[in-house]
This record gives sequence, C-alpha cells and structure tokens, in this order.
Amino acid sequence: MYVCSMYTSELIKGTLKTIVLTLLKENGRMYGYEITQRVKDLTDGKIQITEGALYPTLHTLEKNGEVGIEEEYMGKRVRKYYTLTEQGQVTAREKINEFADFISTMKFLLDLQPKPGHA
Amino acid sequence: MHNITDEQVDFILEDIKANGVILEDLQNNLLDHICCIIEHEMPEGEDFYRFYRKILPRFFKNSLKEIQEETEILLTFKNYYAMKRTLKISGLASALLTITGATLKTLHLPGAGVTIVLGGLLFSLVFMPLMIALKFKDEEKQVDKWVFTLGFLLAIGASVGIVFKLMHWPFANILMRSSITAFIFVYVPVYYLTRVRRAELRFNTTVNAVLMMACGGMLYALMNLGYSLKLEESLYSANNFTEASKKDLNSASTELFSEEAASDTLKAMRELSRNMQEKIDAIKNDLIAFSEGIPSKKAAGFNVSQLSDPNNTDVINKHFAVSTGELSRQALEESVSAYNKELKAYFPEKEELQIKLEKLQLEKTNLIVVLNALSQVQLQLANNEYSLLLAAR
Repeated sequence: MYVCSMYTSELIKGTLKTIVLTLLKENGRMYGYEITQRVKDLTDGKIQITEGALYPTLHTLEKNGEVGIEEEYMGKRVRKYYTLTEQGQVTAREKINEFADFISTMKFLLDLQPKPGHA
Repeated sequence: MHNITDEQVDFILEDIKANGVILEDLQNNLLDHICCIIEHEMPEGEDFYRFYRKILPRFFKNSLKEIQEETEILLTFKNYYAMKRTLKISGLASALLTITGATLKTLHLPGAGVTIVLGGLLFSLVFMPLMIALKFKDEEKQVDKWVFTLGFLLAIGASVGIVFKLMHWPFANILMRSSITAFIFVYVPVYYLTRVRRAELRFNTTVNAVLMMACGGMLYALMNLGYSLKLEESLYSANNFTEASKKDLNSASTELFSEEAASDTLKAMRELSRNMQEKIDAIKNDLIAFSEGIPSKKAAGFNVSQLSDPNNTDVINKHFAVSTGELSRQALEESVSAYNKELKAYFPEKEELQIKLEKLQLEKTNLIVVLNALSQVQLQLANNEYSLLLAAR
C-alpha cells in the first residue's frame, strides 16, 4: 500500500512526503498521475509511487496547508493540480535538509564512504 | 492514445463510489488518475472494461476503500497530536492558574477570583473533555472507554461545582454534592470491579481506587462545612446579651422618665427613640418572617437561636438591601438620618450620641449578622435615651 519499487518498503517509507514536495518545488504545479510518472521516469522505474500511498499523502499535505490546489475541468472530469504554498516551500527545504543529513549519517554509520588510502 | 468517452467517465465514477469511496476530493482524484492511465497506457484494440478491471488492483491490496481509510488515518493522526499538545498545555496552565488563584485567595490578595475561575474552567471545559476524547481513542476495551468517560464527566461536574462554590454562584452545592457522591459511590466501585480481575492492572487499580476514595472522601467531608457550632452559639449569645441590655436600659429609662418633670425636648426625643426601636423591631420581624417563610406576626418573639437558616444571605442581599418599602435598608437609613438630625437640633453638644449606621455591616452578609447589627442600633437608641434622661435630672 505504500511505495512500490525495487527497494524494500521499509527503506522508502517516510520519504514520500519529501519526494512529492521536492517534485512540486521543481515543477511548479502537477497532478497526481503526473507525479507518479515523473518519479518512475526519474528513477528508471526503481521507485514507483502507488496511488494508494500518493493520494492520502497529498490530502494530508493539503490539510496541513503545505500544498494548494487548482481545479481544471477536463471534459466531464475535474483535474486537481497541486502547487506548493509558502509553508510548503519551507517544509520542502526542511525535508530535503533532513534527508541529506540522514544520508550522510547513514553513510558514516554503515561505513559506505570511500576512505582515503583505499582508493 | 485512447480517447475516453463521457459514458466511460460516468462508469468509472460510479464504480469508485460503489467501492465505498465517499470523499468527493478523493473520488475526483481517482477518476482523473484512472482516466490518465487508460488514456496513456491502454493498448490499441484493448477492451475498455477489461483494461479497467486489470488496472484497478494497482490502487489497493484488498479494496479501493483502503485509500480513503489511509487518508482518514493520516488526518486523524494530525488531530491526535494536536489534541495531545493542547491537553498538555491546558493541563499545565490550569494547574498553574489554580495554584496561583488558591494562593491569592488564601492571602486575600486581588485577582484570586478571576485566576481560580480561569484555572477551574480550563480544567473542566478543555482539559477534561480532551481526556475523554483521547481515552476513547487510546483504550482498547469498550468497557474501559465508558468507565473513564463516566469518571471524567463526574470530575467535570465536581470541579465546576467547586469553582461555583468558591465564587458563591448558584447551583454550586447541587453540582458538587451530586458529582462527588456519584464519584465515590458509583464511579470508584465500577472502576475497581471492571479492572481488578485483570492481573496486569490489579495493583495499579487497587492503589488508584484507594487514592480516589480518600480524595473523594475528604472532599465529601469538606462539603458540609459551614460556620462552626461554637461560632453560631457565640453570635446567638451576643444577640441575646444585646437584647437583654436593651430591655434593662428601656426599663431604667421608663423608671427615670416623669411626664410632669420632663422638658418638651426630652419628651420629643423619647418618642422618637421609641418609634425608632419599634421600627427596627418591625424590620427584624420582617427579615425573620421572610427567611422562615412565616407571617410577620409569628416572627415577633422569635429567638435567633430558633432560626432554621441563620446564614441565609438571600434575605439580606435580595430583600432587605434592595427593596424600597418601609422596612427596607433604605428606609432604615432615612429614619436614622432623621433621628440624628433631631438629636443634633435638640442637643447640639451631644455629638457622641449620633448613630453611625455606615459603620455596621448591613449588606453582602447573612441574616444573623444583620439581626445583631439591628439590635446594636436599638441598644444605642436605648442608651442615648437613658443618658439624656440621666443628664436632665
């Protein structure tokens, strides 16, 4: 129900919000299907966001005031475009910084950084 | 790219609804998403309905409704944390306000009332209802949810009652008494019996039940505190002493007074004094009659120790102090003022005999205090009369 990918869900759980906020930051406004496709393209299919995980996250971000919506009629159906609010911009920055810090900590913890002299 | 028709859009929307998704926002999102998948990913020549059935499981594990449930859980969790934060802040604030209010009240400093009311209301109207909501969410067993809810509701009743009692507001006693009685005799036994059989809760349940019983019992004991009997008796004896002295002085004055020898001034003063005493007797009878709910005639000769409610404040604050009749406080003040004026006219050198009514407490108090004050005025009238008669000899 979360994020489907070649990675285990434990590994990716908790990053969905960061992914969505970052994509919106870079692309301006996006709709749900577009977000899933962009993630799939950018990661060569390694990370595929499932719809079951995406929409609850988008709704939460909307309720928190981190994303705003613009509705457009596509014939008989309504398309909701999501955009970052000012608060969302701040959250996006915080999330990216937090994640970057997490990665460097994990690199250190798991001893993944090439050590000088080993090269 | 497949061009989706309006009928197909309607079909998808109806199917989403039939699958239990009722949030309109989510319905629109899913509809657009499914349409996008069909438009971009359906191979040429593929049957729409077959393809739709094939892609639908991408959205869930067991049923489409899971997306809605997941959304609701995420949104509720946000409220849950906000509620917990409000609970902590309101709990801390109400504790600080109550302690500050109680300290101010003990030291008779200003601001005690408003602080204690804020603390009490924050506790009973914010903290406690949040506790009910959170316990309802956290407790797994249905019986525990209801038992805790009962306890918190009774605690709300008791704390509102205590605040009302402290502020002398109406319905304080009924709120306090009923809540605390139900808390001790219903809630604590129910709490104990529903939890004591569970081995993991037995010790805590026993300790909590004893603590609640002890606290509730102490509050119960405090509830009926009024004036001590000794204080009431001392007020009665003071009143009886004043009444007896007044009678003695009046008798002594009657013996001293001689119609033939007395000057016109003295005669006029004596009559004024007797009239005033009679008027005050009538006021006292009226107050007793009002408080006891009996006719004024029956109230005459009523000893203060026979009063069923000597601490009655309504008779003073809602009757004596506010009415405008002949037996009101206003009428008494006018009579005393007239008496003082006459006294000054006849005996300008006797400044010390003036009755200073403003020094007596005749409002915002109870019946027995006002009856005592009125007897004091009568005693001074008798004393004035006697001293004037004595001086004239």
